[in-house]
Amino acid sequence: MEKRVVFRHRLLPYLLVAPQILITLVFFIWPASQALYTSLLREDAFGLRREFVGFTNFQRLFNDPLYLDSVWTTLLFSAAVTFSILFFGLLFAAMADRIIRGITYYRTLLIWPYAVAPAVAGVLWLFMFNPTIGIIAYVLQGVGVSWNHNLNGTQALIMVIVASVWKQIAYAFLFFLAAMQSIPKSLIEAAAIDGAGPWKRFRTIIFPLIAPTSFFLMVVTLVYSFFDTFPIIDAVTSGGPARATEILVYKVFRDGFIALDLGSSAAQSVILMLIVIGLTVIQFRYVESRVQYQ
Amino acid sequence: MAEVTVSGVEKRFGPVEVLKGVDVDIADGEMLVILGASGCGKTTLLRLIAGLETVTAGEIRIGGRVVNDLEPKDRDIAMVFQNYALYPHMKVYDNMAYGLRNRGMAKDEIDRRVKESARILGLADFLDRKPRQLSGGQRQRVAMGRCIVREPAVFLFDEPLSNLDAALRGQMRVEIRQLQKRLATTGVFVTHDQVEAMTLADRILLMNRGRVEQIGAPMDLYRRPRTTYVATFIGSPAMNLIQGHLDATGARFEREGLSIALPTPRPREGGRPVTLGIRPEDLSPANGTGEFALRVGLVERLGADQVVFGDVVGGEPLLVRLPGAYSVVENDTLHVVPAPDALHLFDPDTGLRIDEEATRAAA
Repeated sequence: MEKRVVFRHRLLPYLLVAPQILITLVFFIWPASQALYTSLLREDAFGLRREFVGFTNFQRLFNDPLYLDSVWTTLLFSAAVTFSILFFGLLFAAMADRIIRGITYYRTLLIWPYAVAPAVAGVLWLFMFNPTIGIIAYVLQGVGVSWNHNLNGTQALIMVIVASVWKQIAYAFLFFLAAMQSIPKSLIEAAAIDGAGPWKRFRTIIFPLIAPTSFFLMVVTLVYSFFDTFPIIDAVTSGGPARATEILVYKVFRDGFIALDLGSSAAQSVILMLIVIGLTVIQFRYVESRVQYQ
Repeated sequence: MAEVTVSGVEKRFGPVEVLKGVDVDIADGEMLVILGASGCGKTTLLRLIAGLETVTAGEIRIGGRVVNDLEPKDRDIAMVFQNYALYPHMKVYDNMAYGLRNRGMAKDEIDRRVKESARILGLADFLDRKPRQLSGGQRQRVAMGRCIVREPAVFLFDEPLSNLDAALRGQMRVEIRQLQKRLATTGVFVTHDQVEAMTLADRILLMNRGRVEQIGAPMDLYRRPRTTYVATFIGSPAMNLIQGHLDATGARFEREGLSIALPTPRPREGGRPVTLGIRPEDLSPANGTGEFALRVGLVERLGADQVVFGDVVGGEPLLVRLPGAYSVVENDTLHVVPAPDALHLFDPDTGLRIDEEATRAAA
């Protein structure tokens, strides 16, 4: 039997998808095409004159040591953030999966950080890491680490990484826990009878079975670390000190809206856009089409 | 190869008492079927033997060794789960080899055992497949194969046939029985299906609400049920139970409109109230001179035989199983006579078989 809904009126289906298409057009296609167009222009800081310069903006970007530095910072930042989020999310999920009593409380508490606004999360960590009054800075000084993220770029990077990770662990935790709990309990019991200890069971049974979820989370978390960490960086370090925490998306903002170099900023957006498109393609190709077990 | 001893085992989940003291000795090479309605604790008992749950009280021995505190992997058991619990991401070969690899067995020995088991189970052509590419019966065989490669002391089966269709279930039942006999491995098989229990078991352990109702050979449970629970659980359709009393001499069972001579009179128990049990198949038509009359209600014709739903005088329902060829007309009167040695007497209060009760009192 063919499962297909046929609309009686010819216009009705178009009417139904119109709001979504309108939103996509206004908030995505239009700005994106504007960015594409602007990336090929050069404009003076007052917006009085603009001229078409072709790919010059891109050329200049790839020859700009500051931009290449930012690429390097972004890679380091994203790798650290993504790896830590997946690692801790998986660790907490594996631990929560073994808990029987009080699982609801445990789960609720672990999800809370996700509900905190990124900027608030950033400020929270900023206070704790404050070199003068922060509790963490105090403890670190106690063990002999001189903490001052206002001066030390590496420390500043570590701080925004910690804040970004803390905020997003809950998300990975939720997905990992759901994936683990969808594994039939009898599989784990069968493996226990088959002589596998907890670690071996995790490595040979649980982990392969949650691999599709892990891959999905990796892509989503990468996107998070590239883009959604902007408010944290803006609130905590504003990209400093000395551009040590200036990741690509923050540089777009700074060059475009503060330095008013719209052409270069647009070119950077286009590059970021290409990265997102790449990640999305990977996700659709490998995650969505992934064979489901059983 | 090992015998399994369960003594005084109790299991509580929080306030819920699931097992209230279970004792059973399973001989080496024996197939014991744990039978019972859902929620009676049969699966819990199996999981306790497997080590997937820990006992609240009592002791479990496998091969003479107390295993209460041993992990499942150290108990030398293998288990077939209700949903097979095959590792979905591993090929059939790896599913079967997994337990052996975990135990650090040499590669060529693993290969030999897996291939040998696959040959026995008819899985030789499927070793490279993933479980999802197999049919239900084949998955069932892989689950069996995963157990037999281990050459364990005890096989545990947790309702392994309940997910199969009727035809396949019958076939797998035979295969499991043949395999278990051939390997002469002790087996414990949990089911709620009395046909599976009757055909597979050397002995059946019938459970009810966390207690053992009766342990015995299948035909013992059928011929001499110890309680009314066993009497109605084993046999299909269920045994008729009629409330009444013995006459003054203890020679006849009587109730309104019904009087049946007992094979052995019980003069000392004259007049006491009893429950009489007669299996539908132990009643046969008697041409007009039968012991009692029956008003025929519904008739279910099953081919080889037919089940008559009737009423005796006084409105008590009574089921009779007759050969398919016998002609019965609905709303007619049917005279039936019970086979004299097939009458069961139970105490109406305790539900215990009366001769059983006598031997108990003597002991």
